[in-house]
Amino acid sequence: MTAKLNVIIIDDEPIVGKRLKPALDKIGCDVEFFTNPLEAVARLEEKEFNIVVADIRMEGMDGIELLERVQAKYPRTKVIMITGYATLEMAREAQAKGAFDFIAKPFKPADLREIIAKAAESLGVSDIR
Amino acid sequence: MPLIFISSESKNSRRQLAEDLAKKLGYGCLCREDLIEEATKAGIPVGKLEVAMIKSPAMSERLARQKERYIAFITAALCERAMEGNFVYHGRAGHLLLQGISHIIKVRLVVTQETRIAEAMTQLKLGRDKAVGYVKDVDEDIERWVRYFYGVNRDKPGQYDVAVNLENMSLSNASAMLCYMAELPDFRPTPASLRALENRSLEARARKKLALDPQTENTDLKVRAENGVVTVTYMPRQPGVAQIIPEVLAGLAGCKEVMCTMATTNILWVQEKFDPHCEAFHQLNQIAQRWDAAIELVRFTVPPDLENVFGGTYVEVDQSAEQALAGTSNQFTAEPPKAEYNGGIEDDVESDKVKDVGGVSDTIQELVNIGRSGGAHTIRGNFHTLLSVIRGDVKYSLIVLGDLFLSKSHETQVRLTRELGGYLAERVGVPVITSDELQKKYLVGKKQFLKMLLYSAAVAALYLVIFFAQGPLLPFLGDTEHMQQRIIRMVAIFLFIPVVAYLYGTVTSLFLKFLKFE
Amino acid sequence: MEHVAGEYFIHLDLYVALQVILLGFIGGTLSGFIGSGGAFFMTPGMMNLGVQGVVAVGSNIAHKFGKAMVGSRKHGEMGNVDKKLALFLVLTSYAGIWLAVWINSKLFAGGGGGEHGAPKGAGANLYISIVFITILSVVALSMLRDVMRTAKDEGMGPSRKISEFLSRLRLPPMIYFKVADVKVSLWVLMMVGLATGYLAGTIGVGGFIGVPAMIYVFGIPTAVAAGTELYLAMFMGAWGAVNYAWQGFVDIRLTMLMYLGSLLGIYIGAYGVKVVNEVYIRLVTGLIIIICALSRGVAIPMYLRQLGYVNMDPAFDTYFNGASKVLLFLAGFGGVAVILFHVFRAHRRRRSIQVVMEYAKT
Repeated sequence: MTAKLNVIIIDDEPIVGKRLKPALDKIGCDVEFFTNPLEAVARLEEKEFNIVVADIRMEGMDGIELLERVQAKYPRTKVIMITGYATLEMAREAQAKGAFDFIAKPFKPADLREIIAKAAESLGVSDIR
Repeated sequence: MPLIFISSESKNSRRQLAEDLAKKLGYGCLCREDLIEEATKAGIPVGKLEVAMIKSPAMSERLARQKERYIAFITAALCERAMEGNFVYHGRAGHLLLQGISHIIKVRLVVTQETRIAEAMTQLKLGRDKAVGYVKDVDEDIERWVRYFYGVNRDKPGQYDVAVNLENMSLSNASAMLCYMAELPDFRPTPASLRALENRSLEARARKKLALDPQTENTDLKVRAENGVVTVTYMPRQPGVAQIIPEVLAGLAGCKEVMCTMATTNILWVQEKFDPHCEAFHQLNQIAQRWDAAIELVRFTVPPDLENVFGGTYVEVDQSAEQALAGTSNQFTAEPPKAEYNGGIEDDVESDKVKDVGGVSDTIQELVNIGRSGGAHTIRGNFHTLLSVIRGDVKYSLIVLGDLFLSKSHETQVRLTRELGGYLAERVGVPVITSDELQKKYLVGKKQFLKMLLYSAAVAALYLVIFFAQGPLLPFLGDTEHMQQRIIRMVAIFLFIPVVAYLYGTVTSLFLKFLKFE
Repeated sequence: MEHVAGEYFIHLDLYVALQVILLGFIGGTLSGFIGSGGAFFMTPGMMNLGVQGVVAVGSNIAHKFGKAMVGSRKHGEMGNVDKKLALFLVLTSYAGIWLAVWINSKLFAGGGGGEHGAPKGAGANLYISIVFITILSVVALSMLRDVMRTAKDEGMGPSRKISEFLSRLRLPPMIYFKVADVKVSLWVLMMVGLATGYLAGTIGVGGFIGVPAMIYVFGIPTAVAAGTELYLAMFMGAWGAVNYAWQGFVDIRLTMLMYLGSLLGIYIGAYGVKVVNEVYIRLVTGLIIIICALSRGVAIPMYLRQLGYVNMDPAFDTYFNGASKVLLFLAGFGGVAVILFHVFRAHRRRRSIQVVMEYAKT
């Protein structure tokens, strides 16, 4: 069972993708990265991802709205929120709206990998196509 | 006009109230969210601190340092704004950042659970169950935040000037009431409170500078400012920072002088008149050397006409031309050693003392010479006033009460000193002793020597008895046959061991004190 | 002058007594420095002097009882003690201590395998040594790993993996502790208490499990963990001492001799903490502990031989015991030397007071 985990990362800072993509590729994730949340939403219309990693604060559409959309369309997808500027109220809101977990900037790729591993575990290996 | 700080866990309501109030008063409006945005931009991981409240209940050392940086930054930002003009600030616990300034009205805004749940349901589009959970979680998180950041319970009423409950009062009426309150003379800025704000501002700006400078960001520093003199206390593990601190603080506006002292802890010395040549100074100095402590001086005087020494509404009416009302119980007056202080009541009552300032400047100079200065204050008022200079963010290990209440009779002096000791011990939570007891408790003299001899003798006797009685003792210790023996042995050992440990422990600690090693 | 019932207590001459005092001093210094423990050094040291393992443990627990009493009298008011947490842990740890004392005295009474004429107590000695080595190795290795990690990248304090996992499990009933500000499941609490008590009873060192468990498993702040541990040590020490006294394994002479050294050492060690950097403290501690474990390991063949599990010339016993003793003292002396070096350096540095004054224009 060498199913690949589909991960989509949305953050309006290109550097985030540049740094996270290789770190997640390494553990066998299939990573797509978007800086524009609207484009990401379009992509999410076409394809179901196992895991969505999104910044809470972005231009165009904030992470919470994105979370709501993903939750509505794919209830099984795990959404992990990145919170750089976020307050605990925002983190709690994301949690109440079904985010799987949140991680505060600055963090190390290993911290995110750990959360992703947890998410993969809760998805169950057989769920991964 | 006063500044107004509104604290509440409901972001919505505090915003509405603050904005409404600001409009009515013609003030600017400032919120926590603006400040943390600035802080994040300046490189303080606010998000990390926020999330830490949810994820891990305990703060790590590194995070604790970030916490210090955060507080330094936010306090400085508030002070900078306060220098520019009046504003209404709203946040979680902003009132704790600038304590002891009487022209800041500290408002606790109470919003019912129901209102907040309804808000969460409409604004966040959450179902009722989720909204209930959300409100409860956020509430607990904020409570934790306040406790970790400021070490106080958010709901203790004493920290606020007024609590406003929106359950039966409309928001606009609440703001009208606060508007009226802002007009009250009690909250008008006084020279003293302005000076306090200035001190606090200089302190916060110095702290911020040190916290954001890469050379000093990872050091544990305590900063106090008084009349342009910034005193930075550093830990003995980081002796190198003493050279760096003045460089980092160079060019800080309003800073006349930077002093660095090394300390692990502070000793607070409260007295009416100081003299660098007195016995108590000598003794305290010895203790401070042993503990690596800095000595902080407080020259404390009580106005002769004061009725309630503990607190309450102690009001002094300023007779001078300004017609300003000086002071509620919160007010503390920092007298500068120079004559620039304009017409406070202090001048009237004790104009002769203003010049010699009770020996404070001589004593502090002496302390600076030996590297033990923790700063100095001169205050006048009741016990509560004194308490307001003892701040939570400085680690005190001892409070020493010297000769106080000199205008009273000897019996009254003794009683008041004892009462003050009890009052401070209860609220500050560190040992409080009088300077007469210094010798007995913390230094070694003849009495201690005798005690050590006596205890040593007792210890020696115990050891001799045990070791000479090995013959009968060992069978007793090892016996497993006789029930009675076993029980006696159990009880005997249970009682004997603490006695030996106590006696010998006292001997060793006294012995090490003789060696000036503690 | 032969005794009947107390025959397994060693004969004390001046030379042995001095060694016990020295053990106490080193143990005390280490315990003041690390904040808990000390018995991890003193118990094996006494076993090397020929003291029966069970007696060494019993006397050490008695020692710990008095020591913790003196300590908590001093530090009790710091507000770093979660009394409710201490109460829960103490109650469950009592069961653990009782279990440990029972196993130890059963093994002791069972002697060696018997048929080989093994000396009394070899079984218990072996058992205590094995528990010792296991625990010390685990503690030391995780400490050293921590040092490596903090040296490499800036870790954010103690890992919260375990405590987060457990708090997510939420095995009811959950109990809330106000001072420590954590919610812990009663079951987890009982497990930790039992394990702490068992270890305290078996090898005389409970703090090695108690403090890390409180930090990593419950997720409470380090200061509160250390403060609470002192409280725990006092009650567990009392209970252990009473239990071992009941079984007749407390040699009060050894306890008293240890005090002579240890109470002095504690002050010096505690002073060391103030002046030595934290990573360094962990590094030194980790190294000392690992050598202690090694030293115990060297003594194992001797016990195996005595039990008849291994065929070996009894004359080798002396060499194994000697090597074990050398290693142990190496660890102790080395550690104490490092601490003393820092203490005196800081003492010197403190004299040269640094005052820097700088005038900046306003």
